[in-house]
Amino acid sequence: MGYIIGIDHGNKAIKSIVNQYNSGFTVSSTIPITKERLLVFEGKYYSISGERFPVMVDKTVNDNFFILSLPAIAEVLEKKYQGVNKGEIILACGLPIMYYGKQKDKFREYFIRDNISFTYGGKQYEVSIKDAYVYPQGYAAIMPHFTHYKDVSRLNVVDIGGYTIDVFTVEKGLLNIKSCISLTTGIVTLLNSIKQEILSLGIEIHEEQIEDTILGENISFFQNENIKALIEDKTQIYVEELLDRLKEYGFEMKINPTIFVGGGSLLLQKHIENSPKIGYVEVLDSFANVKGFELLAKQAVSRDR
Amino acid sequence: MDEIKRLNLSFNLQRENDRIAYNIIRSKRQKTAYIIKAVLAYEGVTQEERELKRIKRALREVIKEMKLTADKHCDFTEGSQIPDEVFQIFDSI
Repeated sequence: MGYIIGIDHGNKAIKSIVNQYNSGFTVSSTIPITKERLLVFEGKYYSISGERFPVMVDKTVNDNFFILSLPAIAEVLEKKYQGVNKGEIILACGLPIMYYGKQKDKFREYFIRDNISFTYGGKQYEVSIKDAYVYPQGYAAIMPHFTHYKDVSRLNVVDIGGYTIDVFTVEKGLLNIKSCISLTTGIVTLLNSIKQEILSLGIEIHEEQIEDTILGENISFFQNENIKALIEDKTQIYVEELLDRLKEYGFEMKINPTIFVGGGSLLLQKHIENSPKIGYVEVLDSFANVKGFELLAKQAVSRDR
Repeated sequence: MDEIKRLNLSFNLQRENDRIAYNIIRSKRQKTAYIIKAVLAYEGVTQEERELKRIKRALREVIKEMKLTADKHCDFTEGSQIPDEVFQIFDSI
């Protein structure tokens, strides 16, 4: 059996059980000055992270997400599998629930490759990806807590990703496929609208600064403290509008518990929990999908044996 | 609804105690009821709870003396066997 490695390929961030970084890199044919998060693959140098790539609905159209998977593989082998640098790998990954049916086979085939040779963090790796198990994001995230939810008659799950927000109900632990909806107003749309509004004041702001402000980090904007209020207001409106839309789509959040997953949920946690429009709420950590992918893949592998 | 008050708690997951407490609270389905019970027990509000606290402390000491520890590296302690129906759903989408 190969090493099972879960990776959540978000449009905003790549996450494994041991690390996460922005879904982006800069590529060069010569050694860059900084060696931090440097990947060498097929004769090119990739400085991982930094600015994320624009949103991609089909992540198999180029090699970007394959390349972005390699640092996650390296760090999981290093930290979870005692530093091995050779071997066979089984990837456990996921897709937004709305694209799952159409893209799962293509996504699986995209990753299966033999004899992948790369260097990361100065260490050489020789691996083969023998299989990729693909699961629906959001639903996978609640699997590690399956025993907690299996008796709940109706549960709402809201997965706030970079590009999409996927929403569905789970009834006694089982996904109700008919209930699934996908909104293309993920967290990136909020960040972009804040960026644009601040740009209209003649000020350029980075996504990280916006995120830190939303999270309540103690950062200051020189002579421009009203920027904080603007970010807070826009975020509050975004959350309230989202909850209103979910209500319109028939998701009852006053009497049914609602589980929020995805990096966007964590960013908006304070606003979600404080909203009077919602009753019982839980926000799972940003690694919930990865944990679910790995758990499901482990069980799938043992079932296949 | 003036009788109902909400508290927004923040946990710094880089601190071990915060992380442990956060994970415990997160795992509970009825969080408010659990926190009420935990706070009252911690503050020793009732005789019964004071007694329970004393027993727990004694038990902890015994466990420590016997060198019994939990496996901190155990993955998915909350996980259970996922039923076949779940895997059938994946195949059907």
